[in-house]
Amino acid sequence: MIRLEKVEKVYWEGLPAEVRALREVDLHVGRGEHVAVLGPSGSGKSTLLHILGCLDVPTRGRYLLEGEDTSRYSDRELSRVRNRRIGFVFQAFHLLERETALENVMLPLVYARRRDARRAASDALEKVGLSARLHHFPGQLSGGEKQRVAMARALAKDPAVILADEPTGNLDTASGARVLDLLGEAHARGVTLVVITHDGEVAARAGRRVWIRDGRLQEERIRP
Amino acid sequence: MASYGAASTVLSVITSFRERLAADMRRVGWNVINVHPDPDPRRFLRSFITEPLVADLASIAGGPHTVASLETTLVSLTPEVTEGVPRTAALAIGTTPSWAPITEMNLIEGRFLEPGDAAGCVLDQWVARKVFGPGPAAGRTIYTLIGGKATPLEVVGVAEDPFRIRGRFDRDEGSGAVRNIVVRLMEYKNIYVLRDTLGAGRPILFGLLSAAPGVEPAEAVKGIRERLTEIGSTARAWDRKGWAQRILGATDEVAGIASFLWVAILAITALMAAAIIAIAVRGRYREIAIRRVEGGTRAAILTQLLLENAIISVAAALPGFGLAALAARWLETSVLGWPIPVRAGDLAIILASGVALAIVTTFLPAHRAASLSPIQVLARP
Repeated sequence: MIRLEKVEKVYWEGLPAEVRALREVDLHVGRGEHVAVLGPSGSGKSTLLHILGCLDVPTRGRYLLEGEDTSRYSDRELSRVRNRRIGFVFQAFHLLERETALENVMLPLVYARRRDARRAASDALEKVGLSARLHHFPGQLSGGEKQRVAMARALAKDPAVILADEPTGNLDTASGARVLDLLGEAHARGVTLVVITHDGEVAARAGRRVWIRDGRLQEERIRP
Repeated sequence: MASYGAASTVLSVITSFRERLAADMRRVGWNVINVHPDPDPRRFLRSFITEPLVADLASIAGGPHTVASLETTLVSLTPEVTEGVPRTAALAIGTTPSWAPITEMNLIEGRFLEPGDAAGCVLDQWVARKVFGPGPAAGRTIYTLIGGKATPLEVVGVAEDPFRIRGRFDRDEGSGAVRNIVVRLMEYKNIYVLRDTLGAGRPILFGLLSAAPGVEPAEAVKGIRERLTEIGSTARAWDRKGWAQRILGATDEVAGIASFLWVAILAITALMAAAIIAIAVRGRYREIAIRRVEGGTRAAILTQLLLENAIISVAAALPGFGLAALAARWLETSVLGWPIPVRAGDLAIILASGVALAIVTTFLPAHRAASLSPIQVLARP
């Protein structure tokens, strides 16, 4: 499903301020796997997520998603991959403040030119328990509800992969648990899950944990 | 919105002015050729006009002709010049009945002079309104100071003023006496009488020729000038069509320059809008980044921002055009006095220009926003 081969990411390469965010990272995530990526701040977790999410491209190495090398994709191709195959869930939710919950969930479907965008978005919001909040703006929602809108947005496009960056970082325990349950349900339906987290409880739900330090994958443990 | 309104009004006024002037200039008799002595005193003595000379020149033009004596006079409703009695300075033209058909004169009251109308006169509309106000003038009596004595004349007709454009702006002015009388003749502030009424012995100061059908007046003038040169006369000959066209050409140049006004209005608005748009787009970086994450391509973001501003521009244009229509109506009725139609073609030009400017001014900030890395934007607090 996901294969990184000798991936390096270097910012300001050749300049005094050069930063080597990822160093020769090799990673394979199989279809339907649930992987947690752990590591301290500045270790390269977010950079790894950006490359996995086709939000950035490696400086060197190859990133194969479902067998296709995305490393040299154009902006249009990367956008299409993000739009069709990858769902994102961020710690800060990243919802459009001036759009309703329904419109936020419709966003990727509109870019995908889905004719059933409204219905699919409505169904997705219903699945995350927000059918009564379709026309609410993010400012009118609690943190947990906002993250569930983000979950609905990720799920509505029926992605192959969901990338979650500290999905419970801004939530109280109950809301966080609800979001993790939703992620678990998606995983149970066969969606590949990569979760970046500091939270041991979140990591504990993953089938596999990967540690990253100073841009290197240091350790990989597989839960029995 | 206001810019659209202002630009549309400016363009409508310029267009209507040009059309109005063109219509006015068409009424001065485009087939007419004027012949008169040289106004320059140094050449005046070698440029006398005589009836046989005019007849000879008319044979070159190929059409009918007439001659005229001229005298500046005062027109009044009473024989006595007393305090408070309105008097109007006018140019008295002593001519023949053929003046009207040659100049294609349009009479709005009565008729033109006929043989035997020794005590009659025809007034230009401007003079009639000055003396009689808006009421009818035909059949009424005026007094003129011809030959230094008050002469009563019956008004037999009133000639339409070809220069409708001056209707609202015409002011009494005192420079008439110092201008050459031939120039004043073309101001259409005249009183027409038979030559005998003005005085049989008066010199001829004006010849009026008409180009034959199919003969271009400018070509006829060339032949007339050659003949005048042959006989050693410095008399001047010129065709009214060429004169009118030169005025219209000059007007076109001025109108062309004035047209930049509306372009300038839109351009200045666009510059101000560009600054506002740049700030507005910067305020939407986060939204744009989210759209990029969710699959929006750079092209899609760019198109969206351009389209949004184009739509805003169109939305602003509609009430702006409404304002323009109101402003044009006000200018028409309260200031200028001639019709100022707000044409769909003019509005289309302004709308297209406005939308184009909106797109141009949006392009740079929109392109910059679409090219930003979404992860860098979303990483900002």
